[in-house]
Amino acid sequence: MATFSFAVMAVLPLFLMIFIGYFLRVFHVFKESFFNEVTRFCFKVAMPCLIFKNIYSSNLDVGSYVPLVVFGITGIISLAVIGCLFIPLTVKDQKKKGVMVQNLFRANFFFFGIPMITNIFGEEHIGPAVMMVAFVVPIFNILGAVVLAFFQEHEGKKRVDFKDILHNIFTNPIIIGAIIAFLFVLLKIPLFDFVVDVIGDIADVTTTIALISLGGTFKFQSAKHNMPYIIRGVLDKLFLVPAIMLTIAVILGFRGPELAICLALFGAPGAVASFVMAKEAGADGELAGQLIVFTTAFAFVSLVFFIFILRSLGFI
Amino acid sequence: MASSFSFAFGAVLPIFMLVGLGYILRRLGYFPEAFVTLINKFCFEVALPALVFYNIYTSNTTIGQNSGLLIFGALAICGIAAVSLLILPKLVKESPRRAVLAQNMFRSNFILFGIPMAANMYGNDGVGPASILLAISAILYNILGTAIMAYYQEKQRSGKKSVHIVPLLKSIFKNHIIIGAALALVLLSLQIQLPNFLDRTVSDVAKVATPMGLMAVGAHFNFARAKADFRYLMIGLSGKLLIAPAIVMIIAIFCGFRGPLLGALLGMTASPGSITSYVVATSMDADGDLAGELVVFGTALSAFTMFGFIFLLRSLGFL
Repeated sequence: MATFSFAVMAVLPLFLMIFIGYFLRVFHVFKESFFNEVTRFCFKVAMPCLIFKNIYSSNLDVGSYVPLVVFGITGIISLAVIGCLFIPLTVKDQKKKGVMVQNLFRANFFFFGIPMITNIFGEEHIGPAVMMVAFVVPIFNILGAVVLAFFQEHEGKKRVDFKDILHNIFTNPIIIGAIIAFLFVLLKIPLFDFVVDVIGDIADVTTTIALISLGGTFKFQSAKHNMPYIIRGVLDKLFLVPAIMLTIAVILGFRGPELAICLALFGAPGAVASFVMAKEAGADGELAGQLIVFTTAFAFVSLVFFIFILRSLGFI
Repeated sequence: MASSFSFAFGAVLPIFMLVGLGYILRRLGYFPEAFVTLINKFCFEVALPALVFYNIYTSNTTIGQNSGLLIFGALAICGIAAVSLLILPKLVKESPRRAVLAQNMFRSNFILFGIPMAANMYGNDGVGPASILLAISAILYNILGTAIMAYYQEKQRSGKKSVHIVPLLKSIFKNHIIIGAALALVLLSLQIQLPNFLDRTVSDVAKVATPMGLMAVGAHFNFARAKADFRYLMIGLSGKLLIAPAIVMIIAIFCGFRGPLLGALLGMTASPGSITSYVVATSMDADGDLAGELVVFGTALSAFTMFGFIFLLRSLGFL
């Protein structure tokens, strides 16, 4: 019972925030455009601050996390490759293939990983998770673009423009925040306390407003015609993938906060960026959007389930 | 003594950085006008109620031996409010400005200035009395502030001299901040403890209010408009930062308050206005710009005025 309530407490606060955002829109306190603006603010200002603050002030010994980073990156790439091989066997609609593969490997690591690890281990352990963001975000972006391009319909097929992808990565505010922070740490550039405090003030706000605005953009439209794909996507993403990846992670010896990072990396629901990218690539954007909503809603069950099991076995 | 000066600046700087950041972000195009309005609305309807709720809910007031301080503090707040409501109409004609100036007089940023000031002067001996005042001031600030704003709002809306009591009460009790305060009082008096996860959720939402509100002030800030408001700023700032605390200090000294108790009262009256004043004013149709300017300039000047009060009262041996 204590383990179960531990698992619930780890994820319930996240979902309460999403609910608050959802209700604020449903009850017409705020329109969707407000949440879009907040999301933009989070992406351009708040999230870079959060990344900067944590990398700058955590005295991370990056070297000791090399195994975790390698495991994370290899895991994501393997999922993408396996997806590209197996999804086309069962999914016949060309526009849906890329979306389903993307759903497998791309997760909302930022919004779910950081608050979840904070809830389980406390604020002082999110340093490695934040560091992971710096590695994972570029990988997600590159792989997402490659996979969607791979399944693009042949007429009018665009080639993957790597210059474009690289440009997107290095103008991504989150990556810029991470790079600047690493520079400050490596060159040991001192900062006034009040500058760090202010960045910290904004950083503290980030996950709260990010989750609220995530909830505010949710719509449960009729998804009947896509139901088979959604059920499949939810089961794969939330149960199959984390079950396999966590087993491997446990065998490789990851424990505690590092294992929780693996859970967030492979068990978190879909990210909004997948939807945006799918739409731009001419894939089935509607399905991508529905997958995000449904994986997020059901992630409450799956995350509680996995935390419960990992905790009962004494791994976290 | 040097420490009380550096403390004053330490309290002011982070606030200024956030306001400045809002100003810059607006110029860079990240904070369009419409967004700032909505951020204010979010603070007013969601984050500030959570903050007020949380502050009252977590204040463990053990009134017992300090009932004198509590009563004096409450009377001081009500007294300042009453006197400014009597005097301000003679100095200022427009209702939206009267409302803002009146609220400015009694409402202080006790949490970011008063409490750290008490801690800086007396350590834990200072924090105790200050946090006793915190609960009562949070309650009174919000009730009085909302009532004054609602009164002027109703007056403007109806266009008449008198205000009907029913719509006024309705608008007060529909206010989320008041609901938050009332809820906290109910939980406190029934000694109901929130489950852990709710406690965290509320405190996370509450944390949004101050940084976002301060950035909104900065985004809205306009030097030309501040210049045009010079007269009102003079009235508001001299009243808030010098006259009101001076009068309260004199009476308090006559009543026999010394040391940490006097320090708590000084923290309550001499602190500059908080971002709440701005959000409430903007959301309730008062002159939000003026309210924002009062917060910005009041915060800057308070570093000097608060230091001055501490210096003076220390030299006279009262603190």
